Amino acid sequence: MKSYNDSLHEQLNIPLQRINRDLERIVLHDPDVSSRSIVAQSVLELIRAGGKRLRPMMTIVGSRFGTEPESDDAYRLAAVVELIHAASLVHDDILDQADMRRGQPALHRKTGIYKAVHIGNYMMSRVIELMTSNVQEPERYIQDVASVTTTQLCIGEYQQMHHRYNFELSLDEYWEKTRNKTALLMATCLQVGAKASDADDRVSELLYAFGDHLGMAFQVRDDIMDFTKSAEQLGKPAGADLRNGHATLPVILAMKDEAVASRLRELRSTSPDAAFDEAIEFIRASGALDQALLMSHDFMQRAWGIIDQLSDFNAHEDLRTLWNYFEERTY
Amino acid sequence: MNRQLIMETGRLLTQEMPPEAGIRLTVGSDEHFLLDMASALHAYDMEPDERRALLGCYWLLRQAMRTHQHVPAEEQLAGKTVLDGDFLMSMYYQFAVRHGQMKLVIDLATTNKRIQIRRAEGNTTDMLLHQRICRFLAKHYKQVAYEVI
Repeated sequence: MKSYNDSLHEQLNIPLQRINRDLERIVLHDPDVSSRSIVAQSVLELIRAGGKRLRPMMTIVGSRFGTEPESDDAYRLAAVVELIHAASLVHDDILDQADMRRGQPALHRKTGIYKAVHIGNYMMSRVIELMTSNVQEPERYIQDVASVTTTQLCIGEYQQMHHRYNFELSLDEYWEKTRNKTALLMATCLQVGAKASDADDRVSELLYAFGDHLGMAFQVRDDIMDFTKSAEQLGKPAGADLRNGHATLPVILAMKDEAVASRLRELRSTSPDAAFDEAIEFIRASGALDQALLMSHDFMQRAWGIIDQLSDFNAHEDLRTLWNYFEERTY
Repeated sequence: MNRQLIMETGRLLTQEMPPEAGIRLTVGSDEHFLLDMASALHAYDMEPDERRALLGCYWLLRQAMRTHQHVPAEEQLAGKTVLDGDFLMSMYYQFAVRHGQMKLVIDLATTNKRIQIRRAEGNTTDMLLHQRICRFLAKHYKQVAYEVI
């Protein structure tokens, strides 16, 4: 059965095959990497393991708000943002000590940490090489994609690392971390797509704000699903974020209940699985998941308001499609 | 003169380092590379600000690569080192853009990539970066003229 998630590219009329082909070509056409190299083989495996390709689709949608929609540059940028995302996942999995990614052993489980680190680095440096050699006017994009985004991604990770097993995080700290880790890249995807097609600055800024709101809502939904979905649906153990010591939104909201908070404060990386299982049940029963969902709705409403402001463009329908996808996605 | 340039560049980088990262800039085992580069930079005609910016880019790249070179094999210890290296590399881009060194970023892009490939494949890369920056200087700057008496 085809789910709403599966058909997003069809609804947006974006050829996913072209994005996947462009992604593979980034590696296959690299004259410095032989096809037998562990670098080529590992990156191709990562690409072929799938993924939603949300970020590249957002880049293409962004390009539809300018005078040169869906140009070759826009497709190149779409592949580039997916490669940035994939590279960040390689290093994330080391940080999170993850076993699996997209149904396969995480890269560092296959190659060892040192090689995985440098394969992730290769992906990022290949991005910069492409941006500086193939895209017209590279200066327009480098700061957006390579510099700001990745620095902020790191700061998001530092914030997460510093707060590990500290569930007393304030909501403001949580929003900042979430923006750095997730929303900025989504916002940037729409914006660079718009810039690639010469959209005007006001439109580009509205698209950035739309992506930011969607990204925030996306992460909150992710946080909720960590408690509501099965390990099979998630591709990782249920409650994995909590087990890794991450203060996600449901956890922060559940901390307001002293009975739950006292249990959560006792959790450490060395706590037995049963202690985490019990904490997960307490969080589920606390009403925190419903509160988090309401907050996610609030971001979605703000995103909807931006669609209205862009209703002069035919492509505003694509923003509605994206909005519906984020609203209805189930995994 | 070379140590003075390294000190001034270190101060500049420290000022621009976001506190959230908690990274301390160090010369470490790269001291001779930084001294060599400082010496090379003094051989070319450029403003002092530019000299500091170029050395800053080199320093950030070297420290990023040195950090990832020494990533612990034990998973529990690796995370912070991985993140520090990532941060230094991304700060290199930010610093370069902020100080008008886009040409350097463009010129070094392929070399950076080749270094990562060689390392992933288990090869050494010590001199690649140094050589490429020296070529960049020779291409884009005039050598200081000395009067021969």
